[in-house]
Amino acid sequence: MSDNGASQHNGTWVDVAPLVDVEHGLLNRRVFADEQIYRQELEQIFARCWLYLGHETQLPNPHDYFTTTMGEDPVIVTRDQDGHLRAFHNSCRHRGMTVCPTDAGHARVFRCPYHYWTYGTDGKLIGVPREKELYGGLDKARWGLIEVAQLDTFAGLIFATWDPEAPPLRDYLGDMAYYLDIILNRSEGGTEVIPGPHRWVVQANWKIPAENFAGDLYHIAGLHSPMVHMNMRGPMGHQGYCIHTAGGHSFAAEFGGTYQGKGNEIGYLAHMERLKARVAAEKGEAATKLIPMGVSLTFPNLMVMDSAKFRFIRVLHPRGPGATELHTWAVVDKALSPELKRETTKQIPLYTSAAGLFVMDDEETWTEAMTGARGVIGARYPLNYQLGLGGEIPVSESEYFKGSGMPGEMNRTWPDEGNMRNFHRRWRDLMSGSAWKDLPPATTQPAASRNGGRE
Amino acid sequence: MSHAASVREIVGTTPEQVVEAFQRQEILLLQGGRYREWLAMLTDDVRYWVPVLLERERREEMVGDEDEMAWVNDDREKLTLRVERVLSGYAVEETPPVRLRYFVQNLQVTPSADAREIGVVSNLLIYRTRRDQEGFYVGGREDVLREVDGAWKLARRKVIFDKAVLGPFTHSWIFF
Repeated sequence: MSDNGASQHNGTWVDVAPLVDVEHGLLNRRVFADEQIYRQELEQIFARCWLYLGHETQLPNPHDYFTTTMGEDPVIVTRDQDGHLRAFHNSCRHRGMTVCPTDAGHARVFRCPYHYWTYGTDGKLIGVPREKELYGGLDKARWGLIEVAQLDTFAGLIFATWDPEAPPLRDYLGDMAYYLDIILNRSEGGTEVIPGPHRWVVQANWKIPAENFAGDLYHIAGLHSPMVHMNMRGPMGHQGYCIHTAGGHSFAAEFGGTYQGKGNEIGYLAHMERLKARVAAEKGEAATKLIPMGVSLTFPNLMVMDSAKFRFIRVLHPRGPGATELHTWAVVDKALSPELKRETTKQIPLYTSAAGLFVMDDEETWTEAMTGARGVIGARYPLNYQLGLGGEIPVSESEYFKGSGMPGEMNRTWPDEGNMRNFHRRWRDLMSGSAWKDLPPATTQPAASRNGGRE
Repeated sequence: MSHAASVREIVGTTPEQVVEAFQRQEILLLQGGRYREWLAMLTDDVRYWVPVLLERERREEMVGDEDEMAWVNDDREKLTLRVERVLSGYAVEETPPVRLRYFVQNLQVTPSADAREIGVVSNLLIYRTRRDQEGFYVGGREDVLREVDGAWKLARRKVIFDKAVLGPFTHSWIFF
C-alpha cells in the first residue's frame, strides 16, 4: 500500500460538467446537496487548493499552536523551535487519535493520549513507549505527523495545500494578489487578528455563503431592506463593481455603500482615508476607489470583508454537503490605536456575524436555499445565474478603472453575477480532476505591466 | 420613556424578591417579543457582553477580555439598533416568528454593601425554534442590577455559553 500521500480515491466519479453550464448561466443544485459530489470536492477542491489556515499573529512564539481544519481534515498549525510555521494532520500515526484536542495554546510536544506516541512541534515522532524493547527497529523518521505538502504566507495570512503539484501560493492567488494586497497590505506594519474567532454552524452547503461573498450585491436592496429602512445603510445605488480574476477569486462593493446611514463614524474611516495616499503612490489613484473593498472570496473558502466600519477574515469549513462551520476573525492594522481596534472589533458582532444585523438575513437565505436543493424536483431545473451574462469587460477598460492596468474582469452593468459564474467555472475545472498544468492559470498579466505594480 | 407605562416597576423588600420579580418580568417581555419594553429595564450605561469561548488547556484561560471578539459586546445604542431591526417589520427571519423559551435558575444573589446594586449569578437555558430549526443556548449568566430612581434596572450582563461552536441552527433574532 502506498504511503506517499497519493490520492486513494476509488469512489464513483461524478462528471459535474453538465451540472455547471456557466456559459449559459445555468447551475444544477445537485452541486449543493449531493453526497458523492461532496466527497469528490473534499478530494478535488479541499485536498488540492491552497487553503487559509490562520494569521501569523496567532503564533507569535516558537511552540505556539492552534488547531483548525482543511476541508474535514483536522490540522495543527505550529511555530516550531526554529520559528518556522508548520502544519500537520492532527491525528496520531499509530491508531489515529487526535493528538491535540485544544483550540490553541503553547506546547513543546503533542502526546497522543492513547499509547503516548509523542511528537515535536516540528511533527517529528520523538517518543514511543518501550520502543527498543517492543519494536526493535521502528523507523521513527517515517512515522512523524503527516505534514502539508506546501505552506506559505501572504500579507500575514498562512496558507497550505496537501497537493505537492499545486502551483506556488503567489501563482495560485494570481491576479487576486494585487487586490488582496490593497485590503491587507495598505498599512505600514501590516495586520493582526484580534483573539477569539466566532465559530458557528449553518445548515447550508459551503458554496452558498461562498457565492454570497464572491460578490452577490443584487440581494442588498431586497434581503437587507430592513437596514435600509432603518437608515443603517443607504438605498441601493447604481454604481459599484463586481470584479473577478482567473482562478475563481473575486470581490465586490457598491461605491460608498457601507459609508451611508447612521452609526458609522467611529474614527475608523479617517484611518482608512490616510492609507489611501500610500496605496495611490504604489498602485495609482484608481486603486483607492477600492478602499474599502467590500466582500471578497479567495477560492475556495476564504472571505475577507473590508467595510467602512470593520474588516474580518471568515473561513467556510465544510461539514457535510448540508452544513458549514464559519470561523470569523477581526483583522486590524497593527498601526490602529487600541481604542479603534476595540471599537472596530465591536462592529463585527453587531453587523455581520451570527445574529448580526445583516447576517441574520443571510443565514436565513443560506439555510432556505438548501431546503429546495434536497429533494428531487429542484435538481430537474437549473438555477438562473444569467445576470450580466455576456457583458464582461476587462477591468482596465471599465468606466471607473479605465487605463488603470488593474487585472481581472467586471461588467458593463452593475450589479452582475459574473463573480459567481467565475467561482463555479473554477470549481467545475478542478472537479474534473485536471492536472494543475492543464487548468487556466490564475495570473493573466505580469504585475510589471500594471500601473505602479510592485514586485 | 413611552413604554414605561406597560412595564411593571421592579420593587421588592429583599434582594431575592427584587431579583425574582425582575427575572419574571424580563422573561415575559423577551418571550413575548416586547423588546422596546425590555430596553426600558436597562440602565442608560448598560454593558451587555457575550464573550466567545476557546477550548484551551485550562478552564480559566477559555474566555478572553472585553477587547477581544465577542458574540455580543453592546452598549445601549447598539442594543437599541438590534431592537429596531427586529421590530422593523421587514425581518425575513421573523416570518414566521421565532419562538423562544427562557429558563433561569440556581440564582446566587449578592447585594452590594450600600444595597444600591445586586449581583446575580445564574444558569441560563434558552430553547429556540422556527420552521425545521431547533436549538438550545446553555450557559452561565452574571448580572448586576442597579436601583435607578427607585426602580431596579439591568446595568451589566455577561453570558458565557458552554458551547464553543454555536449551532447547527440560524441565530437570527435573540437576546441572551
